[in-house]
Amino acid sequence: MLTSVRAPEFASSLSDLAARREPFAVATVTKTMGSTLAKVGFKILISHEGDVVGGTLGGGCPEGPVVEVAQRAMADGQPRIIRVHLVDAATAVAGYVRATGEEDIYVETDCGGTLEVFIEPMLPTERLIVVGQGGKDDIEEAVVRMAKALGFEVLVVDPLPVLQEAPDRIVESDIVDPKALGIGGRDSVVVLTKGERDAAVLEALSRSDARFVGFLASRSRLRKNLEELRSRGVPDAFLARLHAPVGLDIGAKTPQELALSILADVVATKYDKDVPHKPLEAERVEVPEGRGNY
Amino acid sequence: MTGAESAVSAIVLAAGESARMGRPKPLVPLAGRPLLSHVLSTVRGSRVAEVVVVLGHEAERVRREVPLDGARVIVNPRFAEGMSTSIRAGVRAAAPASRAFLLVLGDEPLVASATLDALIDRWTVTGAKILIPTFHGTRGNPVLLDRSLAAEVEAIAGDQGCRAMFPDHADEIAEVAVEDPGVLIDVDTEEQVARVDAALESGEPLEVIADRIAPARVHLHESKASPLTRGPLPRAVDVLAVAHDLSSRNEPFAIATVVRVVKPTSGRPGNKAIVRADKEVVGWIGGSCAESVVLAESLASLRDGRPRLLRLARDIGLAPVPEGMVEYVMECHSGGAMDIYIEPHLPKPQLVIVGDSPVASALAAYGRLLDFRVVVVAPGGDPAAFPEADEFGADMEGFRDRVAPGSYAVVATMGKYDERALTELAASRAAYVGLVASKKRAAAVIESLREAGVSAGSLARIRSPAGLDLSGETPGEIALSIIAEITKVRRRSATEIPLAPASAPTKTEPIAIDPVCGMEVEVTSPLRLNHEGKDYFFCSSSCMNRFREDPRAFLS
Repeated sequence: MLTSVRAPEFASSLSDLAARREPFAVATVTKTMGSTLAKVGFKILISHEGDVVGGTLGGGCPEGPVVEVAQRAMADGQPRIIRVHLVDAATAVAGYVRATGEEDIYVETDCGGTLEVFIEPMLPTERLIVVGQGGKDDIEEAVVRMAKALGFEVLVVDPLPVLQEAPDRIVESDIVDPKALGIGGRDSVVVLTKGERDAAVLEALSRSDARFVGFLASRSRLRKNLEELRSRGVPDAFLARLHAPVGLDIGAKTPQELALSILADVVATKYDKDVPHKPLEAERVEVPEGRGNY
Repeated sequence: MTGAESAVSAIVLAAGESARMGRPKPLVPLAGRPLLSHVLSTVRGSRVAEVVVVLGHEAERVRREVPLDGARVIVNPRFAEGMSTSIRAGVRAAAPASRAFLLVLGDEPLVASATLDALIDRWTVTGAKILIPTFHGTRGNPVLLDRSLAAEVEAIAGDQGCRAMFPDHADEIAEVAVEDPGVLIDVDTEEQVARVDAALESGEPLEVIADRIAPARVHLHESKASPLTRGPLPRAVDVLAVAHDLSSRNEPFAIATVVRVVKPTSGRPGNKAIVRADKEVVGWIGGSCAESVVLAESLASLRDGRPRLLRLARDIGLAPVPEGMVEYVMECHSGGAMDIYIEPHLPKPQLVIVGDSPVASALAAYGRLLDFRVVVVAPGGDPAAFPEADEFGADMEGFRDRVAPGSYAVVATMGKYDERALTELAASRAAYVGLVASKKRAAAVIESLREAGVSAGSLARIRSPAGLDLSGETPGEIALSIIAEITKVRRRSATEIPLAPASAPTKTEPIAIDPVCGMEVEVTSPLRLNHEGKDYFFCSSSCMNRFREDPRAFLS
């Protein structure tokens, strides 16, 4: 029921918020007790910044505490149900004393009644962004396949993509613009460029909040790039958290195994797991032994 | 070009009168759905850019009864004049932007989507004008035609298919070998309908069904029909066909290719030969001068899994030899020199997955992607949930035989039969045994195995929880951590089993020869059969099963 929010408006507000790739929350009244202005089904949309950007709970009284809880929900990703008691001053004080958790909230007001509100955080999908060199690349192909299997929303930025497995979105470009792509803290970026564009791509990514930036390169190419990036003034903090050479140390030989080591690195980073990475002196991609193509 | 845009139009030919059936053929029910909708599922599952369906006989009824969503439907009023009119109508109706046409017969319901993609891929890469799928050497359907032949399509007359064009374009035809017997199976009679229907109802994977009802002239996995017989000098393409054949049967072999010559020599650059583990040589690499060396080095490459580069010359040690190259004296008088590159092709490693759980399904998908031979054993499970499995076992019978030495095995049964599977695996020669279970459950399982008398050594081999510790939570993440651990074990180990190194210092066990593939097998192998009083040993369960089916074929 969308008593106070018309369905098309609500849907378009939702998709506007989703397109911003920032967390937001929906708070819906699921039950009312006593005399309340809000009815079951009333809802509000709360932005990342804590602004009510759509809907109503029947008045301003309950919004403050609901927004507060919604911000906690956006931070930890957990939905919650709370009861908001809209009561007179004396009861509110007694309530504060009694309340044990965040489930019961007492608001000193003349509105009256109690609302049960379901607060659901909406976090942007976790994305895996692959920056490709252009042309056929078995590693890129396997990274896209595995990332899709893992449930990532997969975005490929590549000037000339040649892929069997379709990613969720392709941006045909040889530059990476973190702002335009909305790269944020729930995004992991794997850089598979092969030379010329390395430094420019990494420099651009140093200005993003990506959770993970991994770079596939030989030892010598990596050294050269690190020097170049320092001379361009890229902060050491970024270089320190750059996963390069990207991938867990599993002895990967084939392009598919390299992709596997990269995705394992991404997953471990997602869970803040410290795992053995490839040493800086790592061997580079070898021709797979034993199995040729014919 | 992205995956979705192949610029190929599928033209589904479903206009003909069904002379031998009592109703419009597209509507014949198979497993509860009309025949045509099976064909459309295949087409929709491929990368074709658009689907054109050509109807004719009882077009309105077909259109009413078959969901044709997303397809461009055209009706060929001249269908009675023969198939050529329908092909023409379909080609004319295809989007102008399409660069090729895939002529899909409306009465071949068992073709796999991957087969259509294989044709499209080959067309993209080679630019051939006509692409024909073959199954074990027999040509089938659908055929892919390049748009440049559109004008000639107009000229085909009567009830001929596009085959009428083949003689004029013999040089532009590419045969695409596929492991899909569906390309040969149509439903033309009530009897065929009944067989396909029963098979589809059984819920078995398409390949199994197609295997079973493939026409008699195709001998599946029949060694006599394979091109391995020694004959006159095979052309390079034949050598590659043999390679494909051996590879699809998961048998080891090496390819030796002449890459450079200093004349006079009998070999020429590009000459190549295949050396099998049983020392059989197929092909040509400069005759007897070179053969013994190439044979020995090829066998060595099969043992250590490494490619090598040889130089055969009359006088050696005179000129500097490039790094990594080994010189040999050429044992004949021609006086020239040949460089030969030898590359081993080893059977895929085997991934055995026990269980019918989300982790098991995800693992099967990764296994396929990383080029493992995937064996799934899931009692009570649905084979359809494991489309990536090369082999599916619906019960634990014969489980131990499925676990070839050197297999990587993962038990993810959600507790249903962990003990049973692990007991069997403890006695196997698997290279990796992993258990997916909570800590508590794993401890209980291990304890019960210990009580059942499984040795401490065997128990210590069980990795639990299986997988690198990435803290993953979802089934996909857990499966990823397991396949990463397996890859690590595999790449860190010195050699790839099952090819026991011939010179391994631990070789104390007597060696037997697998009568099917000719590989050396230790006689302690659990893969053994007694036939007429004699024991035979096998490298893998697939060799053993082939022997069991027809021992005489391998005992000549």
